[in-house]
Amino acid sequence: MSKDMKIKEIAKRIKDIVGEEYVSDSIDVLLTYSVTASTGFDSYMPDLVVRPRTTEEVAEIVKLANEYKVPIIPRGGGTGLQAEALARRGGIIIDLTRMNEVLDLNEENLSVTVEAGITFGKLDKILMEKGLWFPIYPESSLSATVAGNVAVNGAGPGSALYGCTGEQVLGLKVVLPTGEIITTGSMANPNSPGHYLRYAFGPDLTGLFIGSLGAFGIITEVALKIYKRPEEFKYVTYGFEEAKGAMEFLRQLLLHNISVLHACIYEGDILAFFIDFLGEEYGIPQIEWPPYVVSLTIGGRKDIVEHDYELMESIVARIGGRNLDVPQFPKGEWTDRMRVYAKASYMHPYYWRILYHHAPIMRWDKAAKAIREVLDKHGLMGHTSGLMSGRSYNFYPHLYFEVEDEEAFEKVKEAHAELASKLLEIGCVPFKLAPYWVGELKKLKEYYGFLRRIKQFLDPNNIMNPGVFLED
Amino acid sequence: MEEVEEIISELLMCRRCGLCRDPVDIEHGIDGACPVWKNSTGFETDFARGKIQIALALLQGKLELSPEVAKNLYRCTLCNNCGTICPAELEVSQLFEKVREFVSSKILVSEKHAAIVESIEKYGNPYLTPSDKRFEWLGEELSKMPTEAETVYFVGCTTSLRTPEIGKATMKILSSANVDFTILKDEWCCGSILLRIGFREKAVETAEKVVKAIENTGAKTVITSCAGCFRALKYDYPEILGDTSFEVLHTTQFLDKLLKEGKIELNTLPEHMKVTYHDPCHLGRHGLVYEEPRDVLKQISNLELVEMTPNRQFSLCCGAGGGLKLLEGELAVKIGSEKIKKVSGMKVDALVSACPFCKYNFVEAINKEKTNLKVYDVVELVAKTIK
Ligand SMILES: Cc1cc2nc3c(=O)[nH]c(=O)nc-3n(C[C@H](O)[C@H](O)[C@H](O)COP(=O)(O)OP(=O)(O)OC[C@H]3O[C@@H](n4cnc5c(N)ncnc54)[C@H](O)[C@@H]3O)c2cc1C
Ligand code: SF4
Ligand code: SF4
Repeated sequence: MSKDMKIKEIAKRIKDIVGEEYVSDSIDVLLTYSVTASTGFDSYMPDLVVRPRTTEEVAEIVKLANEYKVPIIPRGGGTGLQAEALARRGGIIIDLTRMNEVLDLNEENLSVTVEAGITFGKLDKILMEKGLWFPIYPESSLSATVAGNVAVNGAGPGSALYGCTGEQVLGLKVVLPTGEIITTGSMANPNSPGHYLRYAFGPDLTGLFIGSLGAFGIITEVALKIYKRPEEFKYVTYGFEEAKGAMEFLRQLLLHNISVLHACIYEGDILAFFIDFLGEEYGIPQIEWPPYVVSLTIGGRKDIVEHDYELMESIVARIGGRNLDVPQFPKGEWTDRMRVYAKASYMHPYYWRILYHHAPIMRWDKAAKAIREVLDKHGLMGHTSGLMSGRSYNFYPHLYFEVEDEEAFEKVKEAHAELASKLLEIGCVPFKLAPYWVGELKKLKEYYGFLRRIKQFLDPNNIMNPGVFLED
Repeated sequence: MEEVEEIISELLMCRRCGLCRDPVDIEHGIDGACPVWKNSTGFETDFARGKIQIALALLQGKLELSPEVAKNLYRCTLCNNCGTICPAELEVSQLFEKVREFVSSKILVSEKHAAIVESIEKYGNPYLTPSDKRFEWLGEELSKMPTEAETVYFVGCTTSLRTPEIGKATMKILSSANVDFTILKDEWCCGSILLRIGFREKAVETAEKVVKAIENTGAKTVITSCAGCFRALKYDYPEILGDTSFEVLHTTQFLDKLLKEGKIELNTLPEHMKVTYHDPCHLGRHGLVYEEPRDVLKQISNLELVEMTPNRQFSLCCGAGGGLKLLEGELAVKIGSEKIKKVSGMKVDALVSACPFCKYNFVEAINKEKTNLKVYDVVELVAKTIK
């Protein structure tokens, strides 16, 4: 059967599953699914796009894909920045944004179970009505889906205290690459009154899907821990003369269990950049900035916040930093947490490639230096932005190029690859796997082999988002 | 038309973040953006990010232009909620108008477009209605209108031919405040719809006609009922024709002034009424008129104004604009119905707008939803209480 005929036949059968209007193979629709927010990567045309409504529909589609051996690519908000949700080998894009309801806001277990395609913004609205919250806000919260963020194991404001998104997941419903549906965590027991425990029935199967970029299955439901919304916030900006001071300060915050929701280290270009683009909007005064600036938000119960603030001040005094008296900076970052990154990333005309990674807190300086050196060497513009994410500093540096400047883009790709291996050398690890890490990953022979064997076992026909982080 | 290359480079500033699909950030008053995406099958082609990709591919010659493909660019109310939320600060609706101009210069997207252009050329309105019907609702009054006056009340096609009660209310208020005004006996379509659907040259012709007629009256001020006319006369005319000799105000702005200057006094509404206000896109987001309509409503005693979320710059469109009602009438009403359902849940007596086109669409939506909700224009409520 020719490929065209095959696709027509699949389309016909999928229409029977989801209804005619939710399947499309028309050229205009395919074109719009050939890209995501990953401006620093190529585009790929899919053959078909489907918008299912239920887990069962997803499972039926996956079974069909196995029958015809066509790739399927789960897609949430299409906000991934590293070419994750693209049809590298053609195939069917499964757009999950139609599945966007809260299924169980379980105040008894303090968990919320949502459908894959709900955005963080919508979830926040629903939790807010009850004085509750999910404490991590990927800075794409207005467009990224919860399952998409679990699939990339994202992070964001809130992660300083609560870690990566994956750390807040209690359980998942997943359609496996072979079409079976499983529920992980305590809900695997059909008698369970909702999700309350991740580690049930043996090994952590939930963890298998966190960060798996849609290569191990399609997540259709996510259960998350929820908490009481903080009643008090405190916004503080500290200055340090040396990088060592800023790093040690973050370490002390962890050591003393300070309720820090969001903390970022700013230096040089990224500081100037932020102030240029957003200083006015957030009312940040013009001051003489020290070389290293930590902008942070603490939040939670009033008594704890007050106490933590006192403690933090004494820590800072001890390690030689100073309060810069610029609450506007972190306040802008925190209150605008769902949009600040998008603004800072797109208010200027450049395109960029990102190099997501985690650095150990005490190696922030080494990672920042590596970024700066590679940028300088290749004559590129870029920055060292990132945020504290538990025990890691989660960097998301951008390497800029002008749109449609092929030469500059090639330069960025080269610098990017060089930087990736340099970062591994100093002990960093990927924040979200991507094909550009594979070369390095392969050097970890046994680890890579094990990952491939898992993939082969789960997905014998290699249909689930092939090539997203493992070579075929 | 702006150079194609220039439009392409503006469109390329979309970095595809997707914030314009369905953003929710309650702390900032944001609860949704694209009314079309929400009320259609919801593929990427149904909101700005995908539409921009299609526009780019068309302009760059990577996608063949056909009415089918072009319809993606017309399945949009040009409400510019996307542009307001856009972190790259793209003027999305303006860009789409330029792309539509490109498209319309190459192909006819729909016979409905041809019919509208012809109707405006022939009758001076897009409703295929002979010109002499335009002011039937005015009866004898028409002949009494002076040829010269300080102020021109530019009634507009929709008010005249679909919601004349708005015209009557406006006339009543102007007369009672002793405003020296007239209307243009041979009033002609402002051309807004032509600009929205990409027929700029035709729009220039009608704009010239309108400006000439206004200038003949010697008026210094023009007031419009329709948010679309307001946007066209105030913002588009200076751009396409250069400066004009008159100031343009929306009725709500004019009324607000009259009230603040004490030129009209209002009685109490006979019965208590709880209302919420719908920001018309062309008045609010495009014209930045948010407070005057509210200030006017607040002057009416026995009337309670409550706000819906979202409102003002993030308000959701009624569904009728940008030529959508013309091309995909059912979708326009469906969008209107979504808002009607939401407002019905607020337990208010009425939805108040400041644009006949919004009202027209909402009335259809109410009929479809079979609710008891009433829809008024701000001027209708004021006229009810005029002393
Ligand atoms: C403005 C902006 C700000 C950002 N800020 C952050 C940030 O602060 N933190 C952060 O972590 N990321 C951030 N990102 C990156 C991106 O938003 C996140 O990776 C996001 O969580 C992806 O979610 P999505 O729904 O858009 O997924 P997509 O981009 O659609 O998909 C991402 C990956 O997940 C897979 N996937 C999607 N849904 C499912 C599913 N249901 N089951 C299985 N696999 C699935 C896809 O196949 C793909 O591999 C940002 C991006 C933008 C554009
Ligand atoms: S919000 Fe702006 S940059 Fe983001 S996808 Fe929409 S139009 Fe593009
Ligand atoms: S202008 Fe309005 S209808 Fe059109 S794409 Fe933007 S938000 Fe949607």
